[in-house]
Amino acid sequence: MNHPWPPLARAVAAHGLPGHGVPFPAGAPDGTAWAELVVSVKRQRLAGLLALAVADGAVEVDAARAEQVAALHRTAMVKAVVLERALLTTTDVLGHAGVDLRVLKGTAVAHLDYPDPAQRCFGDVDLLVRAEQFDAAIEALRAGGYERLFPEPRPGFQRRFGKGNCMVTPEHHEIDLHRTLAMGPFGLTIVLDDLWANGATFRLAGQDVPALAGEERFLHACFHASLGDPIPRLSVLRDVAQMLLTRPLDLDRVRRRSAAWRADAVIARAVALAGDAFALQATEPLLAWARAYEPDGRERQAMAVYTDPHQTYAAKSFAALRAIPGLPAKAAYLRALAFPDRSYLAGRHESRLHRWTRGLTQVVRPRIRP
Amino acid sequence: MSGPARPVRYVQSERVLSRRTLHGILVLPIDHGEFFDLTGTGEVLWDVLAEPRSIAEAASALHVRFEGPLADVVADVTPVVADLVRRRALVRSDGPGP
Repeated sequence: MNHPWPPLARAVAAHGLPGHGVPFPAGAPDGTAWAELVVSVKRQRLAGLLALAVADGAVEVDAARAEQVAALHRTAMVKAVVLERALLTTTDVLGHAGVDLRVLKGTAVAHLDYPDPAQRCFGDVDLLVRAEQFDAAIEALRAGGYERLFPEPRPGFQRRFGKGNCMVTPEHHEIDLHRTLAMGPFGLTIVLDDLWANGATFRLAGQDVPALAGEERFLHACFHASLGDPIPRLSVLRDVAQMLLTRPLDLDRVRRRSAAWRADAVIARAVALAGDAFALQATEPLLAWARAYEPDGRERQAMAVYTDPHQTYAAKSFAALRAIPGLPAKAAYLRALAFPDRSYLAGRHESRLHRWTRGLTQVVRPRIRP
Repeated sequence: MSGPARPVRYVQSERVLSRRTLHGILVLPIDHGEFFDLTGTGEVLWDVLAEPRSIAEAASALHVRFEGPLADVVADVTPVVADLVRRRALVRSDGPGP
């Protein structure tokens, strides 16, 4: 099977995973393979696992390469702790405003799903807030000196339909504020109350920090792996495999949630991708299910707007229309996108007409491409 | 009548973020703002001070693992502990010793 990632990077990403089938090649990597690995480790956020592999003696390195790995890892860990400090400041601001939150993705996964948080690198902070508190969260952060990176088409649009928004701290760290777990059609069919029904906490600088419960964390990792980038990062696939193979997941709950969120195709794709990337054995029931899963026509169409590298924001927005329940809500969604506030257009499109033309081109173009 | 004075004990501050790296421990006290690395005996001292200990108790714990006269270990540990307190990585503790 051909993989889009270098073999050595796959071996690093699989290191420490029970039952994987991606061993390190024998002997020290040659100069080209090493240089390729260093690039991959940065892009794929694998410095923690490479450091572990070096410490375990799984990959043969001389003193100079060991120093290089140590430096890569330290740089990633400096970023991690600095982001965690930003996270704590942000949770304080939101807590004082009475906003409930759940920490998502890298930060939570590092502390809850890996034996040592130093194994999992991350590049930003992601927080989930309740849809009904989304606007209050934005306002509280703005009052605290945070800047909203993207304006919304119309007031209340993100609270009703959006994935979320990126806020920038006064120290210039990015905080992604989520209302749901994905943009586009699959983000709109998630039952948001399910994300709040259970929870977990991890300890950070003396504070209990709230996160999603294990099953919902796993589902989110699958969403991220399946819908985030056309070729997912190895670190994200590792999260999926890590949780599947090392956590006592309630697979019935995972499947119930997945079905209720109309996300079976999303979960199946992520689990199958992780299984292939790390050559996992199909004895794991969810992996056997994922490999046998056949998406229907609706799922294929919805998945295409995420997995086709030529798809655009406009195409995802158009595809989301089908998932919005009720005509009044569909009309409000279309109205906001077709006639957004002037502030939304500033710096993006020359005029509403230009936006319409561009949007229609993006929606139509994928359909006429062979 | 008062009994013998209790020794001053130190412990890792809760308000610290840290990561273990290939060379030691990266520490960021969130109330101080500057991160630093503890390596070698510094890393061991940090682990020892996960529980409240006086300088003498910490030095004894290190002395078990490293060679040299105990007095020398105490002399080495004392300024390091003072520096970590200044950086707000360690705090005084009223907790019981080991």
